[in-house]
Amino acid sequence: MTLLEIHRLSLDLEVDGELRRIIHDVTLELDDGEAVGLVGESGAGKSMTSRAVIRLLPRGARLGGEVEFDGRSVPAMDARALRAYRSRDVAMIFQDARSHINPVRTIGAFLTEALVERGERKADAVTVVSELLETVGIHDVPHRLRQYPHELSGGMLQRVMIAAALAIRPRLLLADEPTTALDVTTQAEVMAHLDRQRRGRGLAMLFVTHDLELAAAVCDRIAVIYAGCLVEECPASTVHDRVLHPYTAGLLASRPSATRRAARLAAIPGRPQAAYEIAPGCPFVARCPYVVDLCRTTRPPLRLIGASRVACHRAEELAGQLSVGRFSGEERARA
Amino acid sequence: MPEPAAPLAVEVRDLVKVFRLRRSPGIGGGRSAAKTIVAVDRVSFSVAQGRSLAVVGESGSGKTTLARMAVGLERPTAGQIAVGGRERRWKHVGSRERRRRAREVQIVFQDPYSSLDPRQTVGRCLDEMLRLHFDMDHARRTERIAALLEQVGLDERHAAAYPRALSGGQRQRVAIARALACEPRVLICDEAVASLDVSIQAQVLNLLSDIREETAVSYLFISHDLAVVRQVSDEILVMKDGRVVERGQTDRVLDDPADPYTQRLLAAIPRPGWHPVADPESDLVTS
Amino acid sequence: MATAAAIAEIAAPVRRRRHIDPVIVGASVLIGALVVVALLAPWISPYDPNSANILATNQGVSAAHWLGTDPSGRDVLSRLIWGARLSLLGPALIILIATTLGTVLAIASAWIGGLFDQVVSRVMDILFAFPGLVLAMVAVAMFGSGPIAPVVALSIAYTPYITRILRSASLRERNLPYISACYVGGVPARSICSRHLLPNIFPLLLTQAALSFGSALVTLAAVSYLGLGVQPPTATWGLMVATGQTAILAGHPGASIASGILIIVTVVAFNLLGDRLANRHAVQGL
Repeated sequence: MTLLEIHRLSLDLEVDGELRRIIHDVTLELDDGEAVGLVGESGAGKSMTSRAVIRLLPRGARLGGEVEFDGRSVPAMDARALRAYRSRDVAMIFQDARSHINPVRTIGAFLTEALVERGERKADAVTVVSELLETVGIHDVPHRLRQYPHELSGGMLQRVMIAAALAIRPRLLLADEPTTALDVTTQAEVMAHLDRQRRGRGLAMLFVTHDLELAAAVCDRIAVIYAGCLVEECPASTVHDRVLHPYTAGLLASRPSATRRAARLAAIPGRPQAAYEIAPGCPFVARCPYVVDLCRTTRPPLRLIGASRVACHRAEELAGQLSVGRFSGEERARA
Repeated sequence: MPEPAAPLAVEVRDLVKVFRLRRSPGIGGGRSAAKTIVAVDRVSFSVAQGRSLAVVGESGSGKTTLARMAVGLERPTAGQIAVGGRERRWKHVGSRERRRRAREVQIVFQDPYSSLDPRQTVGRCLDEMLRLHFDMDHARRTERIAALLEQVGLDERHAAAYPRALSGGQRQRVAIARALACEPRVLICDEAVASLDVSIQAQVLNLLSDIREETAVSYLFISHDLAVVRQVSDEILVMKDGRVVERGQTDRVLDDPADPYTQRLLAAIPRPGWHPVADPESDLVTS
Repeated sequence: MATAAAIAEIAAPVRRRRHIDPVIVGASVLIGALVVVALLAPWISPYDPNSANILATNQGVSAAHWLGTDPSGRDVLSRLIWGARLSLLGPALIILIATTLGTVLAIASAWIGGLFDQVVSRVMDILFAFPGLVLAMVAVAMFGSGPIAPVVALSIAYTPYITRILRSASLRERNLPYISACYVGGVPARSICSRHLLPNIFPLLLTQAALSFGSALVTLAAVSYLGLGVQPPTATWGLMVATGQTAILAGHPGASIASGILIIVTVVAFNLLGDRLANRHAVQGL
């Protein structure tokens, strides 16, 4: 059953008195209990997409399109409905836990706040959050509850944040680069807890990250966003074998491997562009090695091909040939 | 690849750095006893001319402190550093001595947004280095600036640009060009690609390997990222809590890690077919 | 690849449009106009500011005297115009000396650090304890009244404000990698401070100068008002408020009000300017 439906989402923000496009066109659905990884480089609009889902947007933001949660339109919610939605249906996990947890209150106060707020007894709330902390791998819970945020490490705080998100028993988790600031071993640890709790509770998750490999490991489907446009959406299981968009292929090829040294990395030329910088054609046209005239004039719509949706005019003919080779060929031409 | 008998570019022996913390600021915890932290604990290594050594570790491993000592930004508590066979002194480092060191070791920092002077154009930034270290007239400097920009994949026209007009990747290229302007023996990259987007990271890594082929510069590559390290280093030094836990040829260490910590680091890297697992030791409860 | 990409990028550089702030423009124009008026005083003032006319004291607004006359029968407009000279010159000198001294101390403290920094900070702490006005009064008591003593005293009194703010800004800049890169690149300390640190704290310096100017103008006016600064019959705005006082009781507040308003307007202009410069700085810092 569809839990979250994002339909033709667009977003403009006011920058220096003028409207600037941040998201062009994102269409995405999440079923109950499903995890979708929203992957992109900086400025692609992936964070803003997740924020649009809970309307946590900067002042002066203009939202277009529709976001429906369980059949209810999020942009149309009034203040009371929005509050109820945020405190019961969705929970957000931010990248920087330290700046999202009040530094002058204890971990216990932070965790129980939302539960007490909605009318649960303090003692019950403490029991609930204590159990949650244990399930995310925190020992010595009574002591931790009395501590202040600065006494905990980054990885520990992020687990507290996850416990806080789980405490409100939401149906959807929004995780915005939850482990990007952490060391790699801590990341594995935090992700393991997050993943297990999410699956165990049957929560849906929108997982925003720049790390395609990480997303593929913990999500059911992967959505790749470039310059504010959704360019490909595919099952996580096929992302390594069968990608349909040249950008996704480029992302996979640029990342060095820890197990094998490449003679040369297959870098995508140019730099990631922001939504407001791109011309009317395909957003990836300036960096794509497979450009034809059509790409420059017409923005490709998302099309269903097999189990994937892809926004590329040449998806069918390129299927199966997208490879590291083309990008590295481009690279060699320079040398 | 140079011969194993190539002269040593850097040699570090028993380097120690102890930081004294006056008090721990913060809310709640009121104790203010003088605390010492051993950031680097008797670390030794050497890099031959033209070779590349990676120092790998997580935050708090002391790898950045090591880099800062090597480049003269931090003074070691004990131990020796020799660059090009010349022993470092730590007293009375005047500007003449610093100028000489600049020709030996240069560094590229992690954050491309704060490592360039926002009020200096790219050209003036490179020109400053050239004036300082070489006796060149204006025309030759202009020529050299163009060559440096070309070397890092930028254009002559970028010389007139201020950093704010450049993307993160371009800024990092400028920072590399500035370091190369001094023609150092050793280039230290302190997480130099960590904050770049994946596609840009690949470009810069390729650039760094090109530079090594062209100039025979040695690299000291500080990184937390084993995949990046595999790509750029010949040898590897794994640090944990200020100590070296494992060292060896990059391929050997990454293919067949001996130390449990190195094994954990490797196991934590997301890759096809990977799934995150929590360390059983720090996990009491199973659901 | 790199060249093609680079060319594509230079074709569309991230150009930041300079937003013109009407408040900055307005305040600057007003301040500029005051300076011009002060400079042109001999040519534009309708009367000699010091020529008293016993027959025309405390006159109201008229075609002959646009802002009336004061209790000694001097033309208020002419005195305001001439008064602008010392009223603006005094604070200008104070700010010039205080910012120069403050900037040098701030950058030196941030760069040298250690004992030097601690000594400078402690001395500044001590100076903070003396209000500017008190310091000025002490200086007058020691060196006699006149324009010099209060200006020197206030310069010293304003130095710690400038030093404190610029020191923390310099310290912040100093710890940024671009300064480390200069150090590693072998750039001499003096060049790092003058060519890299100074330009980067300059916007803040300007902001502080503008904000302090307004405050210095008021304090100096107060010194004049108390009769400790410039002596009559020389015109300054602060002195005019004082000499107009007797007329207020007689029902002719014109001279006091006119000079008072001018002080307020000038101070507000400087404060707005400083405030907006600070905002702009904060925005650019993002």
